[in-house]
Amino acid sequence: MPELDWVNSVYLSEAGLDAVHNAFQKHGYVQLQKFFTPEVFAKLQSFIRKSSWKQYCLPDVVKCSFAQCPKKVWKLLFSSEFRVFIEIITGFKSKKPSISLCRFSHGDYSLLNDKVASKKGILFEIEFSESWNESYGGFTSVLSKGAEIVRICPPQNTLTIIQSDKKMQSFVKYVNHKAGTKKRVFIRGML
Amino acid sequence: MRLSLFHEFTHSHPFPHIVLNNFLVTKRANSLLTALKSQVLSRKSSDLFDFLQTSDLSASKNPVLKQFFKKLNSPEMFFWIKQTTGQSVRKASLAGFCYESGDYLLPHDDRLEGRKIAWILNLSKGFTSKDGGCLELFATKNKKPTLIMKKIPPTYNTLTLFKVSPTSFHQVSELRSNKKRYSLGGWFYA
Repeated sequence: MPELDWVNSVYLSEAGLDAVHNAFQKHGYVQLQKFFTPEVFAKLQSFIRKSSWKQYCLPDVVKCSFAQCPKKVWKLLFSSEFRVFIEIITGFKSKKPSISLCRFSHGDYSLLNDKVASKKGILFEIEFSESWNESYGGFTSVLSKGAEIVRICPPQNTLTIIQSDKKMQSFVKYVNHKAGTKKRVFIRGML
Repeated sequence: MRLSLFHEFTHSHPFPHIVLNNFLVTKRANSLLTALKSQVLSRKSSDLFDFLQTSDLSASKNPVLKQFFKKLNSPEMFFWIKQTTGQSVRKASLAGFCYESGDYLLPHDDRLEGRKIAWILNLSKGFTSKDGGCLELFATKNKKPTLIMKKIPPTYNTLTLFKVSPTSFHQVSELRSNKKRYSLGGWFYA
């Protein structure tokens, strides 16, 4: 087991890893709540709060904000330890992740795009939103052959890992006015 | 009158469209709203939209909707569409819609096989700009939508027609109040 002192030890024990691995193999996805240790998550959140956001809008594709992923977060997710951890859970050997830090506010969304092909690999999201509610929209809907297989709208500090293939598509549901000034913030990555 | 409507339609920006206030006799509009409210409306939800919609009303047994569908598909209607839009059509579809708080329809161009002219008859009462629910038309660049150029509020008994094309990008802005936005709509087909 790789040295991952920044990950909740529950997921690092043999029993914990087995349970996660089995759940992933059974469902094709798994959600690990309280993934980072509280101290590490608090630090990551403070880095993300200081991010400079840039709005991006292609009306028939996506409307949201992106920011540069903080160096500290980048280092963790690009580490060989994290890749080995994912490999143990998923059986998927990856090279390097591509990651983006996204923010969806009221009026933001992304649409299904037939022109962007999914690929075989591992899709993951790390949640940084504070008290997000599914009734606001803003959740990630993951579909396979047109049917929703998982809806990502978890508590903060949750790592969601999903097996991706060419039949998979995803979108972020339009964020409606019930969100008020709240924002859904997450890191999305592909291994 | 005919020349004026055709001229207005073809010269409208950002793409050919026309908005006709007080389209029907008020009593007829009122009957259609009552008929629409009597129909079963089911929630439709996807990446692109969230709203309530009836089934295809072409076979509706409701006498008001049945008569309206017949009028939509009459030679007189097709002739009027040709005079107003320049498009030859031979079939019209009919469905009912209701947007509630939080509902919306995101940018798209309506393009599907055979669709020539989109039509919407608004049957919503008492909407202001604060309520949302406007039909918003996009400018395009290289056939991709850019900015909203026109906002058409959901005024009662207003008929909107627009030409379906690679540049007919539009959306319905989110309903932000507890009012309900009712409409009938569909397309005229080649």
